[in-house]
Amino acid sequence: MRFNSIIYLTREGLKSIWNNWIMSLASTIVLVCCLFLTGSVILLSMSVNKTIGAIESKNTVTIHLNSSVSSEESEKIGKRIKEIPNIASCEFYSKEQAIQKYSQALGDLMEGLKGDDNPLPDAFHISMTDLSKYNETIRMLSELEGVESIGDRRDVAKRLTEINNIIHYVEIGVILIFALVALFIVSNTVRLTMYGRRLEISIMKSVGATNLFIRIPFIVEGVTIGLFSSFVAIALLKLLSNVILKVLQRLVPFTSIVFDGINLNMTLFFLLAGISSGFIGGVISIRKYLRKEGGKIIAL
Amino acid sequence: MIEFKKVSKEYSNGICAVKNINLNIQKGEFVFILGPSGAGKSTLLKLITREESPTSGDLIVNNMDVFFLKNRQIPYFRRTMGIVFQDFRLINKMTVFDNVAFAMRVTGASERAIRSRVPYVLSLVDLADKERFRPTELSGGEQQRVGLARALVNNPDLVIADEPTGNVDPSLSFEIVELLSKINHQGTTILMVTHEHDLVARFNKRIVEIQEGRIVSDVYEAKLANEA
Ligand SMILES: Nc1ncnc2c1ncn2[C@@H]1O[C@H](COP(=O)(O)OP(=O)(O)OP(=O)(O)O)[C@@H](O)[C@H]1O
Ligand SMILES: [Mg+2]
Repeated sequence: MRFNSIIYLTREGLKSIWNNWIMSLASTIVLVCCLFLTGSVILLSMSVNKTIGAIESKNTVTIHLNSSVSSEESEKIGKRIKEIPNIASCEFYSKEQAIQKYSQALGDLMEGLKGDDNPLPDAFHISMTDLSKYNETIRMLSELEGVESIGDRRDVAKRLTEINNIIHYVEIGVILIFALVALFIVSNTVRLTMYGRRLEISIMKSVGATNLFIRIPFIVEGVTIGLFSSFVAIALLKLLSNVILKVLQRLVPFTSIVFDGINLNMTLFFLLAGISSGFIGGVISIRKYLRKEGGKIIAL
Repeated sequence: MIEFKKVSKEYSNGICAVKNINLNIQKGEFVFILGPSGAGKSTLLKLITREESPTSGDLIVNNMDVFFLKNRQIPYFRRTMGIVFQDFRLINKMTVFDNVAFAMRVTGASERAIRSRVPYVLSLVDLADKERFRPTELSGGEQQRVGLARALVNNPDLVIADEPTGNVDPSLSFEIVELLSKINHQGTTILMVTHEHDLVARFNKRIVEIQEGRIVSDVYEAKLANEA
């Protein structure tokens, strides 16, 4: 293929996007939606994965005391906690400290709840020496008098893992479905262009155009739409990530959710997804036209 | 240049459009293929252009047996011939210039080559002043001359015309054949299909008459005129 031809064919492909702008726009919108939804599911799954990891690697456990427990009694409980084997550290965390932290994040909302109206319990933050004895240690802690509940993050991690498994299936399903939708949309757009150009295609064949030559404008069209759509989808995902990150920052004291937003690998994946759906869509839609000759193409 | 040896063509629907044809066309000849509608004239041409392939027999075009032509060789094979259609097959949204240039672009010709060759070919068919026109702004005869220019632009050895005068005013048909004749005088082999007896009778050319897929006569105009 000569350089002249490549410039000419690329221009032809871009022209047909313009001439066919309604279909091009429609398929761009559908593609963007497909890529955006796929991306959202992937982001969600990545975030859940990381959160599980973060929770699992954390060996601190919060022990909430009964709210009727006085401060002297709490001290005693603290001592008893330290006596339990496998406890590496034990730190008292008063309800005043707790309400202080909440009001830092939420401001005036918490003002009325300070002092005697404070509904939060006193607590201990403990850490363990050996995580393999986790369950046994938790059991001993929960048997102590005055202990109301134990913030057992392992439970959360377990539930998250279950959710994550479901998300994985959804992820695969979503990617498959949207890949099909994307291919269908792109190939139909290109097919429409092709239909509008069937006279040209038949003439091209009769004057000796190679199949590659006939194909290129349609592939350019598909790839351009795909590439453009992936840019838009990446921008939208970036926007979504930023919003989520902002919200999470405000919630930092209450959550251990880890969210990294869209990264380079994902961006590349999206560009590739856009380009390949455009390419494959362009290729499959023209096969029918390339197999026929002359008047039969026009009659299609 | 073209040699049919016992060539038959049966379409997939069972219709046998060409039956056991033997025909030899030398380089530089001008041949009319004459016959009524449905006689198999277009099929004969489609076998030459490899739009269809023979069911049996041998067909040699430009020293190549079309039977052995691979799919990827077909485009290059077609570049050795120019094809003119009854319905012109011009692209209405392109100018006359671009319609002709189109056939050159397909072969990967440079813009420079196109800019020098296209005006020359348009002047051959007497359309030098209509370069910027669109097909819809031209008469039928002029449109067909654009089609002819497109067929000639790659300097083919063979021009194949399937009823080029079928959609043209009878008074202008003569002019088209004259043009083909002029091109033939420069050495290009011409194969023209028509069912207009009156038209072929006005030229002194070889006439191959086909009926129901068979050649019923292969003569020169002079002889045909004698019989009449
Ligand atoms: N693609 C095809 N499939 C099946 N049958 C066909 C096909 N093309 C032509 N035929 C049949 O073959 C026969 C010859 O057709 P062909 O087009 O060669 O005739 P023709 O001499 O060119 O006629 P006309 O003067 O009307 O153009 C006809 O009976 C036609 O119906
Ligand atoms: Mg015909």
